Amino acid sequence: MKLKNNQVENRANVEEPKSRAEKRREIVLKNMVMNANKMLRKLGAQNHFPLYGMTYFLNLLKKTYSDMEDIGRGTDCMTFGLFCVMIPEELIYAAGGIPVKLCGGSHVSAAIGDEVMPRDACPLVKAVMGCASMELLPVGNNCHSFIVPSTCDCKRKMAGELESFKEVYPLHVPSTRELDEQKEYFLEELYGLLRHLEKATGNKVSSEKLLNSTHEIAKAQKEVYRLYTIQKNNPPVMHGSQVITVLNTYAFDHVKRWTSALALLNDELEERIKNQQFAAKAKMPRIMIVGSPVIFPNIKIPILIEESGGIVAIDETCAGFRWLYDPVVVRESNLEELMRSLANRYMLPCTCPTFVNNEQRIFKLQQMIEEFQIDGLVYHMLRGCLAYDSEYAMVEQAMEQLGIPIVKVETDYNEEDIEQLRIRFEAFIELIKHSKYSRV
Amino acid sequence: MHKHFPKLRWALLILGFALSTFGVYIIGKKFTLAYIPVFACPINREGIIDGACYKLSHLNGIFGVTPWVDIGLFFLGVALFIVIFGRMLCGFLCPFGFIQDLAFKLRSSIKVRSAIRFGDKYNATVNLIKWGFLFIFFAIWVFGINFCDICPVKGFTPLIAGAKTTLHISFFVVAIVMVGSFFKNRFWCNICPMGYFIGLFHQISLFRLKKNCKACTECGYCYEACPMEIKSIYTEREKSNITTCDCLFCSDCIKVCPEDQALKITFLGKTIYTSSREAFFYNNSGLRGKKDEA
Repeated sequence: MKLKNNQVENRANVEEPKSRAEKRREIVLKNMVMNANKMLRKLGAQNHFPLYGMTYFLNLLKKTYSDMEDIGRGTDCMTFGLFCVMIPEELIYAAGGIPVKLCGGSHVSAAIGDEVMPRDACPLVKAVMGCASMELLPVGNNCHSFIVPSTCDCKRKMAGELESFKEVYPLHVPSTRELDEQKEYFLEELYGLLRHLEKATGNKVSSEKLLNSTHEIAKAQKEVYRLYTIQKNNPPVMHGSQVITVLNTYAFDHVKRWTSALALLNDELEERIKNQQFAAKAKMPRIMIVGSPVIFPNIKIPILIEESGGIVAIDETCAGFRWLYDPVVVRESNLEELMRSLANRYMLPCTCPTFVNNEQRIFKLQQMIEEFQIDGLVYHMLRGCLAYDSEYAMVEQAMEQLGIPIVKVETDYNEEDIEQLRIRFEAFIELIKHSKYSRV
Repeated sequence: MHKHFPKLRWALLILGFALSTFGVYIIGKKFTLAYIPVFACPINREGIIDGACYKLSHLNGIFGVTPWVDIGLFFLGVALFIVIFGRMLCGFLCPFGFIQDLAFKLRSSIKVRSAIRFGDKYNATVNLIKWGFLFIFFAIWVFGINFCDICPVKGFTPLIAGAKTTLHISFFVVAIVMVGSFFKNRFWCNICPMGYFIGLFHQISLFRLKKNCKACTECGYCYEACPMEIKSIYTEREKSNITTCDCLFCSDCIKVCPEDQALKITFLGKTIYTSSREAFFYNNSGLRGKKDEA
């Protein structure tokens, strides 16, 4: 009887008048959570041997995408929403804030963003706009401001559009970097960002604070490099899709916690190499994903490759290893020199195709192919990403010279094309297997 | 071993400075057979070996005055030093280089302000000055004056060892170089005629700076660290030998290089010192001794 009363009460709550927009938001949110949970289940069910170190990372994603929690909550720290990989997170930690990276990967929010952004905009930008316009994720809602670098055209216009929802600090990244003046210019931009952060948090950034945060991130980078070396192992001890997920989660937690979790995972993986507990066979074709970022919950590409019998050995994307690969050099501990190092690190080694001259990407790919014994490249291209599309010719030519097969997949966040993609990947991997075994 | 190479360099610099400034006190003997092509001022009588700078800048003073055998021996010695060591002498032995390094280190340790860099803009100017000094060094005796009159080293090593010198115009040069090397890493080396003269023979010197172009990520830290601001070190994408006339082999670029085996110093093709990620974290990010905190 009591129970029934409760039900009646609940119904009474539900039946309060709701606007159309609110109802729609609820449906969207439900879909998004469902999508995220589905991906999490897929990721969790991959290993023969359960990987205990992964629990933290999967939980973090679960918290962010389905439990609607936020790391900034419960602490006094302000959070700042970042995009791309050109913003020094060291500065934000030094100012007493926490950075979260908000580049979106959900096809549900991308569908919402479609109404705001032009048809040809890339799904990443659409997903961000969808999240912001409907206030879907608390991670983004609780941010003090968004810091958007003007990298590609989509991001540039996104910065403008986002201003109607939240304070936006646009950071100009020069598109050429050959001359010293351009580096100096970017340095000045970073000083501007520093002033913005100081104003927002009310803390003054001293050289000690910046040095400390640089150390924190250096520790994270050291662990990431350890994971990078572990991934060189053939056969692999961890699925590539999981590695990408792990690196993805760096967006949502404080660097200290994340680093210690990654250290535990690395320990476990090194133990596995010793015990010969591998995640796949050595003979399987080793694939590298290059191009547009693979952002959770859009992990379909690596999962499809693995389902078709390949190994995602490594990725060269900005949500993966490119993000945390390059360390910051600390030559002197005064603020000016530290800022110079940051400007150097966040502009020069970046292989983002938004830069006019980006030949270094080819060298980087060549080096990675050699280090990771790559058999084939998957050029992941999000529809609408012109920068990556235009560099495809250059990469293809380089791969032709090396004799490495490459397949270009142009896709969206939605999952309608999964079966078509599967056929292409299966054919591609079949081709690699054929050439690999006929060679031997 | 590669982790501790920067320390080895400092040890050698200190040793070089000590021996060429008060070596006679320590060893009790002076080598007069050969002359080392660095600025080790011969006015200072306590140096274990004299610099070749005095004789090279007084070419009118040796030809026709000293016997031909001595001249031959002198040039043979200098040539041997140049071929075997090259500008390695600048980075590892030069006493004046050590003083400049010390001044620069002092600035960074008392956190004065950011260091000065010439940058792209003034590279051409610096180059011009360098050639000007090279001309002054070898040929200014034609006009009856001499490089020693403006030599900044005269104000350092002899004074430290207690020898008497007269400075005159040199005083201003000394002042400029002192202030300069406080703010700019190896200020004098950028325009040093002696070092540049050695550097001109870098093609036949046995020490080489080599690069694995594939491993390079063009992060540009080497360029930031380079006291001579050699930009080609990170922009080079074809050649593996990237030694230039300016390279001092100070090995700072290798110290700050985060890529495994991307940069290395070789002697006769044998690797002496190479970059690695492990050594990078050890030497640069200040993580040394902070491991346990986490």
